[in-house]
Amino acid sequence: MRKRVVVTGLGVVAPNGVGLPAYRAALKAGKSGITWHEQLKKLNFACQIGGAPPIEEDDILKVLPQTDYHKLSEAMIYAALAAVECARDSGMAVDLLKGYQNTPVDWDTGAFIGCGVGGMDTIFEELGPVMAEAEEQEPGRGTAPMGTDIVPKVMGSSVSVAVGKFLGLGGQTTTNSSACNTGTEAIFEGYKHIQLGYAESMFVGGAEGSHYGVWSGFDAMRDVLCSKYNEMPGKGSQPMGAGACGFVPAGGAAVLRIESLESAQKRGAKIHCELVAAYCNSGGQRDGGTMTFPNPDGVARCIRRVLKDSGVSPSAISLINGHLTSTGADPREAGSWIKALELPLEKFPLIQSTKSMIGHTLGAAGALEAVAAIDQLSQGYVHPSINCETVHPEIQKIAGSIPHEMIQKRLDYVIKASFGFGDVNGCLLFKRWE
Amino acid sequence: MAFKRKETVIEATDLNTIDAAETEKRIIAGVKKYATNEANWSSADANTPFLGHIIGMGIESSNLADITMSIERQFLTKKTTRVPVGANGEFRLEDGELGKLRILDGQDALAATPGLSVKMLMDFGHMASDPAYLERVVSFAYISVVGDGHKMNEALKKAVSRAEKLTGVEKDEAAANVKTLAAQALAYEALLADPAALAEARQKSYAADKAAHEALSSELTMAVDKLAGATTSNDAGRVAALRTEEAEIKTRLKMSAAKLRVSAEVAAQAGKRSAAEEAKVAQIRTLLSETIRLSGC
Repeated sequence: MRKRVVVTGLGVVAPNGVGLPAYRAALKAGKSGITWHEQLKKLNFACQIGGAPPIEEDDILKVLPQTDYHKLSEAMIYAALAAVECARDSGMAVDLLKGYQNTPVDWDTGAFIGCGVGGMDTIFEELGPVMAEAEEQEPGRGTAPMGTDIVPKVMGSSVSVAVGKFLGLGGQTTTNSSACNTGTEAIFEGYKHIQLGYAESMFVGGAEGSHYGVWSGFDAMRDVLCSKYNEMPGKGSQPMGAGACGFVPAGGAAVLRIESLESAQKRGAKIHCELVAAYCNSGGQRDGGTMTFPNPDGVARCIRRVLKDSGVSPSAISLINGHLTSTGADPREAGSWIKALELPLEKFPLIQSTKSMIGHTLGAAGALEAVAAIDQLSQGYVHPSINCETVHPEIQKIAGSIPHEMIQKRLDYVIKASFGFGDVNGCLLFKRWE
Repeated sequence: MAFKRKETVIEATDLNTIDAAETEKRIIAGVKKYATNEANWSSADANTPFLGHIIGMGIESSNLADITMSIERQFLTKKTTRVPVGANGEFRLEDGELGKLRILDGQDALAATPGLSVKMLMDFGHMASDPAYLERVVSFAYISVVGDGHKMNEALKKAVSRAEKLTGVEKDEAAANVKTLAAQALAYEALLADPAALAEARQKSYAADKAAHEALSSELTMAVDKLAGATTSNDAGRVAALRTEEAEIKTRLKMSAAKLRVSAEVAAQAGKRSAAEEAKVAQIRTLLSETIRLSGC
């Protein structure tokens, strides 16, 4: 028999709110976290808007010790802040400023914290300049001036090892990366890990920096990013909207603590919801699937598998939190949901995009959106999907299912999906905890 | 966009314009970035080791390169003219134009504390020697001796604490472990009380390291001779094998030389004891005695 897995902690660093209460308030209010960035203009980016968590160095130093702060890249900092909030939310007494090196190792808990790109701030702001200066001032000096902090800040697993270090995790601690599906995949990996009995609980989620270096490659892809709303940043991210012209890049992090029901009940933990099924697959980059577009069959199979594994009828689903990025892929995604759920259109569940407010946080997207899904489920509300008052012509069939205002509503099941470059898919199904 | 980090701009200072105490202060401030034991770092003085979570600033050993780099970035020196030494591109530094400080490979081997880093700068001529300042600096030998004492004390404390929580057979095993550790701590405490005995112990270690180093040097000589003989032949396979052997011995020899340098310093200094060193030794002896008493052995 499969172990039941529940969510016992949440932590968020989002462009429209840092910390769960601020994030919840922003989601309910339909508040956009997208702003215009002078540096992007200076660098002549086509897209000069983006989502960056509203956070200053002083805020960070209220949570992370100064001595550690210098050794962390931006994505590591976001991951650590979200993880600390998540750990506290799950009942752990964490105060890193009072010292953490002597706290006991939790051998039954690990971390899967994904990252899509990562470390670009270190590469752009430290590695490049230091090497250039060294070569200019002392040709042949080699790599010595680089110091020893670079590798831990740019290595793929930087975000998970930061979380593991601060929380003293003794289970498997690693980083996955599957482009925009990263955060969702991390949750799936943690879910499997608990199912297989390798851990009693896992910190799972994703983190992504908001340095222009992370966004530059997407800007170079021309129509992938939104370049027509530089004067109206809050309107730039328009998932399912008629005026959607590309996604708005963003950064941030979200961490969830998922746990076996037995473990959660044994320690009397507060339970946010149950994760009843999770799955990831790929469309094989065939039949319409490419590096940048998903194979619709792969998407539908991924969603159907989650429904099959959970035994939940599509008609029981209260809300879809889609991947929906504000690109030409939105109508295709809507079509995949219609195909996978096989419901009469009048019974199609509510469908929303959290990206309409936070932009596309890449490796953090699935986790930030999962937190939004869980919070709506546990608190009984549906956040608006903003900037799509005029729905895309190809999504008209389900236009009535898109919430434009916040709705107070009891939700029973919320389904969340993510799709990433490389034709990879992920889907999660959360159930309200009674 | 990424949040803005508050940047600290470091203006490099001419080492000939500041005194030893100021240099030490700047070194401590510079290494803050790499230290994880905030309590120890914030109260660090000339004799606080950079390494070690118990008594040091908690800097990981991989960050020793950063400490040297931090020191290099903070100071200017007149020792900037490179004079080639040997054929491998190695050089020594002589007086020249005021420029960036460069600490050469191996020069920082004994710079385990801010005070010893200042001593290193004096030893290599980057700043004037200050005997009054050096009198307050605990030698590398005693930093190492006292550090060993702290490690022993910590191990005994942990073992005592563990034994208290156990029952039955496990408790008996833990108690036996406490007894062994307490005996070792007692012997070490006695060794610390006697500078001559300590020196003798350290000199024995040095003699062993020296013998190992000399054996390795002989091995290298033989390998070089064999290689010279082989190169006149046409046996390319044998030449390649001997070259590999030579490179391997040279690597081991380099590591052995670094170890020997530390060992020699410890042996030479262990018999002497300044007032600062006496105070450090007294402190760790007190700690050891107290933990031995608590162990009930």
